[in-house]
Amino acid sequence: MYEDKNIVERTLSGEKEAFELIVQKYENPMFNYIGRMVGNRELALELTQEVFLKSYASLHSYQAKYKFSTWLFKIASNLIIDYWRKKKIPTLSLDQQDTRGYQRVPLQISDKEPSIIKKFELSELRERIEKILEEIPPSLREMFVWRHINELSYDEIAEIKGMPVGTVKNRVFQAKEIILQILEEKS
Amino acid sequence: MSCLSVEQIYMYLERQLSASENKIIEKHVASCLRCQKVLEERKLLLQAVGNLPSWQVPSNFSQQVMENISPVKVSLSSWLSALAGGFLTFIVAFTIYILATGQNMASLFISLQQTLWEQIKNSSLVFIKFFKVISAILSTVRQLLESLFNGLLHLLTVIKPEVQILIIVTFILLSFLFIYGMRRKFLFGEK
Repeated sequence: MYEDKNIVERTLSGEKEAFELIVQKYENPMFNYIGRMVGNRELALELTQEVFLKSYASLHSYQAKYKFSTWLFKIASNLIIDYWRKKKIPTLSLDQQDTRGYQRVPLQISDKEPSIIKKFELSELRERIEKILEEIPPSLREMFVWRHINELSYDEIAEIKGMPVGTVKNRVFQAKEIILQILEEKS
Repeated sequence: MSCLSVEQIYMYLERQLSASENKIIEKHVASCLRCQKVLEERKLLLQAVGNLPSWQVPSNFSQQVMENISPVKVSLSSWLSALAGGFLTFIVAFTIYILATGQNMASLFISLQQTLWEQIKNSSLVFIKFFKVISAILSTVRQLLESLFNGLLHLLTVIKPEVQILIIVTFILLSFLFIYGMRRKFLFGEK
């Protein structure tokens, strides 16, 4: 497997075809992330393509001291925000906490602890979680997807968003608690 | 020890804690049924979210992306920088040529202009006015270059020959470096 930085160098030196290796490596992780953020397969495909076109056009601005994947996800995150703004979709910025719907959940053990998980088969649980994802505030959903679907580390997510690692962890934990809360409400 | 927070439990399950912190958690959970239940619940949740169905792009996706990739537009400032680099290189090369051949720059320009004028006279009358303008521009440029050359000659009498060589070499090196830097911009995006 070629190193990302090596492929970037080759592309920048005029070997355009080398960039296809980057596309092949990141097309599915990117599609999974964007798909979960916009909830529509066709739109997600379109935006995923746009991420690669944008990254190719600004490849010269990529700094090798950063991981290529985090740079790519940063482009994708900004693209989604731009898309929502252009379409005037009434949704919050990914950097803002949602003040409607599911509020911040306390990360303390409550007296009414959910006991939902054991009621479902694992496959059914996955199906339910997939649907519930759409209800999670975007600012939390984005980090949840990066962490548990794209399997990025907390440090990488913090680098993408330019946030403290503690804030990132807190948001991912909250996303999971909201999933449990919704599972309980809908069971 | 009081009960664990959900945050501590997630940190433990995701292996975000140190070995000593893990031991504290394990010791507490072993003796607390409530925390055991909370931990078990989150453990199952993590198992489920860790294996959510993967979305797959169509098999020809990367080809489609590559077909839509267009050469990168070079910004105006880059073009101006490249032009400046080219002009600088021309000036340096021309100066070296004049110094090496010992030709009089003014006579070179005059002869060039005369040759050009002869060619123009032989060509169609329709273009005469246009070429007169060109001639006027050339004349102005000639005067400018003559002034520059005279200034340079004056400098040459003042500066020692070793320093002159050093300046010329530095100019050439800088020009090469500049052009090399620009090369990336122009090669990038070519098929």
